[in-house]
Amino acid sequence: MDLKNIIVCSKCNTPHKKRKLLKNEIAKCQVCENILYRPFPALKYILFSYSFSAFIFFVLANLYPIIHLDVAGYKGEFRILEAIFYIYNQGYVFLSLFTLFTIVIFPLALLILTFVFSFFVIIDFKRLAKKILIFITVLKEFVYIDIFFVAILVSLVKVFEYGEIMIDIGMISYVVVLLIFIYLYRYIDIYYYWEMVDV
Amino acid sequence: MFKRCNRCGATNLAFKNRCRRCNVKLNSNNLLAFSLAFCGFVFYIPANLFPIIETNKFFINYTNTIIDGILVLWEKGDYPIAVIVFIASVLIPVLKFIIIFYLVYSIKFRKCKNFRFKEKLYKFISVTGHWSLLDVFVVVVLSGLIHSESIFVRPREGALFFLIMVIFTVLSVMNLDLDELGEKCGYSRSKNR
Repeated sequence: MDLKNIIVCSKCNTPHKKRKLLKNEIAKCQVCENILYRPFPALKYILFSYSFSAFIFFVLANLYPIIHLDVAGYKGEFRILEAIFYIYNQGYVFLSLFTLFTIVIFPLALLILTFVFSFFVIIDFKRLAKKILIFITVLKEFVYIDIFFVAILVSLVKVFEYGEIMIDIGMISYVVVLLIFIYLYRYIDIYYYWEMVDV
Repeated sequence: MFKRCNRCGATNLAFKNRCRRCNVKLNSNNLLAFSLAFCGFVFYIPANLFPIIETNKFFINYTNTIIDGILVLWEKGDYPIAVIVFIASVLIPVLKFIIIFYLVYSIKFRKCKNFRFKEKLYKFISVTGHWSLLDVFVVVVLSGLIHSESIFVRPREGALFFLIMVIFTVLSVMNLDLDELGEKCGYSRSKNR
């Protein structure tokens, strides 16, 4: 019995035998109709190109200001790294380090690792890709850029009535990064990544 | 007979301790989950008592706790934002503690009733748990946006306690395993059907 050819439903734990799907087919659980798997024929190329694009936009989002604020003569701008260093200088070391890791370092590492992972899969170097995937699987649980984005929007609403707010190139880049992140790590289940290296 | 790895989705034999593909432990530690949730609860109390944010407008200082911040938003008429912050910072953490304690209690004492409902509760806290960080990140963004000598926003100790609370609860949910209850109750679902 080869376990690689068996898939267990994540909802009801019913085991099913896997088979190769056609382009528009979706495998569903016989018992609860939960989606078991769907075909992602070009996933390695999607990961390769999207992670590289997201990397470029992520750098832009961190280098350029996200928002400009003008309140009664006070002109402020919000850059992610500057905000983190400001909090660090205020003595909130743990808070700043947590933000630095979950908003900057982990997402950046995740993108780089995804890029390297997909590259190794493309050149059929699956043993090394598998080792990288372990890090990707763990890291993706600790990336909170989606929450941070909502936090930016909530903050905008809070300061909206006090002055003029302008969004900058950083914000646009951040939105692009966020959309790619949602697609790569929320929409595509990590199961499909693992299926590529299950050797 | 089979067990699905929660991390990578691989199919494993039920008696195996580690996943054949990603090598993660297949059986979680529910006692650890309880301990982490309890630590989180301890930090939740000062997180609500101490101010989370300090605002200085032309040398006049205001400090706000989480509840104060929500009330200010509500009084200003920003009802949707007040509701979002209330859900993320008050409702979800409280629900999360109640659900974690309830699930650990169910696992420990084999309370098999409403197993499907418990599964839904587990899914709810897995998906929504880390959204409690919203308030902490709002403080970070406001601090980064407004920091001149005459007007500034700064985090206060409440934000730190709240952050620690969220970290503990996120780790707690990661260590919680409802499959153990399923097996104890005969819902080892692959066998059951």
